[in-house]
Amino acid sequence: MGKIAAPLLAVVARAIEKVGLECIVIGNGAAALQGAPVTTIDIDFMFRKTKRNIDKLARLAQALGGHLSRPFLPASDMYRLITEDVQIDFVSRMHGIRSFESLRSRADKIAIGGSVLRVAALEDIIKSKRAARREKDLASLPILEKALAVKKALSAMDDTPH
Amino acid sequence: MTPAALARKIEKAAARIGPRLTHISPEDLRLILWNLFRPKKDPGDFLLKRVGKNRWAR
Repeated sequence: MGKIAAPLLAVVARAIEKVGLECIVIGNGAAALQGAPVTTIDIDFMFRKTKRNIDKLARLAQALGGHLSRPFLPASDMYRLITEDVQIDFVSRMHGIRSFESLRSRADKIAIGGSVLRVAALEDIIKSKRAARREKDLASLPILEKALAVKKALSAMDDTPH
Repeated sequence: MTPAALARKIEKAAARIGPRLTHISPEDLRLILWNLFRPKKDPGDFLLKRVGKNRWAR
């Protein structure tokens, strides 16, 4: 298994761009990129599950020197890419989110190093965590909701004539 | 941005939006503002890495 040089997220973003995989950062990683004061040990993405994209996932694993697996078969629709430095999960379905397209329509593009990653909107992350109702999701909801309120208030302040 | 300039920016924003956000404590508000305004050298610095038994670091 290969070792990824820092900064990690830039390496991942570059590899995703290189293999041409269309995906969106979700979960606490997305929340952090949207400015919420949270941390995580993995990165989650939503992708459109097609034969072509699954091939791209395999190429991505190769590019990052990692291993791709489906750890919770047959119950799960998740693909997990493991490297020495990071675990990356790819899901094709998300609680509370109608489709990949709907999530993408509200996602932001964020520059990471020389690449661009699509990052789910904080509203969608909150909606998904509310719908999932897992203990860890419910635990992070209060700070995500506060971060969203602050972002909205700052945005309204910017729109206010000084 | 110097730490002093960052602190001023946080306080200025807190003074403007704080009164409307009564459900957010002053501590949480400043933490969120600091996280939004701080210069990020590594955009992936939210990722925790295991650096030893029971030891994690950003």
